[in-house]
Amino acid sequence: MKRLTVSILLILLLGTLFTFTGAVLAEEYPDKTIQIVVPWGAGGGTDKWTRALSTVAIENYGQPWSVVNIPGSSGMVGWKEMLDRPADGYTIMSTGMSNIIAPIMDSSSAPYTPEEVRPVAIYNFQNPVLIALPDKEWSTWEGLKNYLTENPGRLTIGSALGVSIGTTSVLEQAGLEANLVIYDSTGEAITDLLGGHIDLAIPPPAVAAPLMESGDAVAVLNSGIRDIDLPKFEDVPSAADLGYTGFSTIRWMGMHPDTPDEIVQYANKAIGEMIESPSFQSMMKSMGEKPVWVPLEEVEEIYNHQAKELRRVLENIDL
Amino acid sequence: MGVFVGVTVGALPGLAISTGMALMLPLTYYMNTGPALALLIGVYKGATFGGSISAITFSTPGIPAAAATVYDGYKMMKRGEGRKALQMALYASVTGDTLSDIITIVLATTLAVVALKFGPTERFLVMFMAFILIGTLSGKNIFKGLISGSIGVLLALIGSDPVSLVPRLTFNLWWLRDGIPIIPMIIGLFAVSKMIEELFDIIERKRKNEEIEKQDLSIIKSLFSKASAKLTWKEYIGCWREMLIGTTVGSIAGMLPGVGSSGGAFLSYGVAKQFSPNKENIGEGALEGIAAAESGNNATMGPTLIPLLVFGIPGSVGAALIGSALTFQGATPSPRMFELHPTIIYSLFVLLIIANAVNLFVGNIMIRFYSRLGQLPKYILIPFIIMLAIIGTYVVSNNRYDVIIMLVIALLGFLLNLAKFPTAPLVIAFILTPLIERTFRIAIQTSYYDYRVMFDSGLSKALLGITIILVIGITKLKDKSKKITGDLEEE
Amino acid sequence: MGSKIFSNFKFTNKVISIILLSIFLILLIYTYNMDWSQKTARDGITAGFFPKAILILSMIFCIGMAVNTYSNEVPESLEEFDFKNLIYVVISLFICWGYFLLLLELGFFISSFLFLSLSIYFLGPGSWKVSLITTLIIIVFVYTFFSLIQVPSNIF
Repeated sequence: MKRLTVSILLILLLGTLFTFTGAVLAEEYPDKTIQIVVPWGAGGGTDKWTRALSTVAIENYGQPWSVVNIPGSSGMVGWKEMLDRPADGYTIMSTGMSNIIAPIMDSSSAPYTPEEVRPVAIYNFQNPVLIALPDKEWSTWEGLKNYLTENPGRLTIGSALGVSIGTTSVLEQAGLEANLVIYDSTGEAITDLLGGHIDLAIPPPAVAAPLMESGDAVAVLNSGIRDIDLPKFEDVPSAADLGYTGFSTIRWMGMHPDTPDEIVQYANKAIGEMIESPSFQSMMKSMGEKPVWVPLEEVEEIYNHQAKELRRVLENIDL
Repeated sequence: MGVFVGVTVGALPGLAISTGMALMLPLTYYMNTGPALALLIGVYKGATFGGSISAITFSTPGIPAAAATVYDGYKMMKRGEGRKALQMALYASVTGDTLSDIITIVLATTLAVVALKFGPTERFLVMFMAFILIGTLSGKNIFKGLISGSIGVLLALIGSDPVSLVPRLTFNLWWLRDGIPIIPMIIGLFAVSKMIEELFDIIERKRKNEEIEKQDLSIIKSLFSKASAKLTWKEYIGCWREMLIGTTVGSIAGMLPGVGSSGGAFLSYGVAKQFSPNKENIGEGALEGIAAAESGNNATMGPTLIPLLVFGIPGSVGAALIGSALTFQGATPSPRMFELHPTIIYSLFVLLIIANAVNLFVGNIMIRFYSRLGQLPKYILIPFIIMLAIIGTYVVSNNRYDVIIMLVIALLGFLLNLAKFPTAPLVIAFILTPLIERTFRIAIQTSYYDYRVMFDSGLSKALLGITIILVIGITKLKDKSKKITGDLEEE
Repeated sequence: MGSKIFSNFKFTNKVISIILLSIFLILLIYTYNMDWSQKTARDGITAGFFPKAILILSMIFCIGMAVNTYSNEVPESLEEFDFKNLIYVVISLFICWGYFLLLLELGFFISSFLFLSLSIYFLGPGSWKVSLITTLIIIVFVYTFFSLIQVPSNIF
């Protein structure tokens, strides 16, 4: 029994020693496996992106990435886990928008604010598209506008919460009123659209593209802030074309807010190389997705802008 | 290979089908289309059967969909008929699965059009029907069943309101924002609370200085020795009605996004409980109950792929993952899939069928082993299962709060068992409540808050009619059975 | 005197239902007093509507349970139940929690070894040989399973 206790103590001691040497060697970052926290379940969109990125980590980041899914409470558990770990750059969180939404909606009990993170990279802009069945009065932006002016609130738009922000914001700027119904998943909303139970839906472009190709649906509006680089999308008006400010959901990575600057800069550059690597690019192309790389200064600017805009829209729309 | 991993994943409590498949997904980047799909479909099917293994042997459903199997399965295990129960689960799974796959293959395009007819209101009514059917599981004391069901609803209501996103009943704990996750709930309620009860027995006997069964290392050897009674062909065929019910109900449930395999299992279990000739025994350890539940949850497997293949819309997480594997292979699921990639579609169909045969083979080997595992002495089994439960709960989401929830639910389950409340209504209410609430609220929103618009379509009227008939029918049946039991009690 | 009353006290279904009734009542009062329960969603349903409805419904069920034919029956599992034993239940749950914390700190092998070998020793016939050997077998068995499917977790 005693020997067991002694050996446990020894192991504990060794463990702490290792952590200390890790901190001392910060300038040699990275010298061990990087833990990537995905605050969502395995198999989701962000998880798919992150796992695809991790396949090119060794060559470009210098160390392998090990992806850990920590879902729960709209992504808040994963974010908190990242904050609880040391600010040494060995834990990176890779996520989307929902765990920014959660602490805004529930500010009284949330364990963090959206500002408590050091954004290091944005790797994807998603420009959700407003789609409708073809040959309806509201199948073009002009038609939609006229229809809603005459019948305020009499069109039902089905969407998941995150991707709906852009359209909500544009409609609000245009002074239009629609019946927005929040679904659990985009898939459910589209089934209802195709079945004629709702009038419009807001999927991400990769989901919309095959439906547009087959002629089952037409795109009314690109509610995002960037152009969509896919065939069939050239003629779709974007929020900016119409004179409104759109909103794109971003997929991004962040570190502990106290992480040293050199590490953040290294991470941003290295992730850029990973995104640019041909094998990752071709992987994403086959999925119909488009990765981007954004320099560090812009990352922070965009992140702060998105967080602010999100706060504004969420406070304005009455859920 | 896929099936083997799948059965393993399914048999481990906590690891859901989607987890297993998601973990395999990166491997498929580097495979050809055939093997990649084979791996995923294998995991998909294997895990659904595997979930019932632990449901029967340890009363711990490996996946939520296997929760309906626990009621009959674990009782049979306790009677020493574990092997029979496991075999029934396997054969029913494979039967339901194969039949529904054939339905999928033959009718894919037609069914997809039918599925589109189910709007929010219709989905709500289907869910509601499931709820009503389940109301009959309450056992002898109706009020206890109802209270236990209400507790289930109450637990399910914890978390954000689905429309206004305001946290309800969370007692200001941020980690309850998304409510109680299903896996800690099920593991706590079934596995850990049962184990605490058993633990209790042992402590009690120790205090009274009773003799504990003396066993030595030979018990481990016995794990590999000859197994107990097998399932006979006659018993298997005897359950044809239940398997048919399971297949039909499961196929319909599978087609509808959001109903899923748990819905399919409970729905067919409920239907079988109403219409099976052996309905009195279902829930008391009857093969028929296992047959209905297992064929019901496996029959959802094939049909969930229908919306994916015909419209490119995944009906479940499993289907979504198969979809992304197809995308990686360059065949993005879309309405034109049948024209563009016929070979892939047909190899998918062939694989669906082959996977069943492999499932049968691998399942049979696993059964031999597992049915013996349940016969380990209690003092080994209890720590072992508690360990598996804790690791299983944690590993799914690496979320320590899940473990807290699991242990609290275990205490609740223990107290409920102590006061002889049936736990079945609780779990079912817990699983169905969020689905019902969500579909209901989407339904009233999409019909502009007008209840007449909600029931405008012919289909919803028909479903409403069936629901009303069911309610009346069940109350009548209840009266009748009460009379019978009442008579018996008087005698 | 007090103990005598207590010894005559039986946990009939009536008593159980009254206990539950009071728990539901407390929850109902709690719900009524919370800000969130007043917040109305777009579809006109307040966040507190479903919780309150179901709480009231369960209270009605409790009353039903208190007056129906089985109300004076004592559940057999409660007949000889010694309520001091509940403390063991709570202790065992805390041991589980302790094992979990250990798992996070020390990893799978050491903590599981400690947990399994000790609990098998104390629950079983008290032979170190049996407990150590079964522990080893179980640990190897579980580890192979989890590593086979490559579960990404920091405890392995």
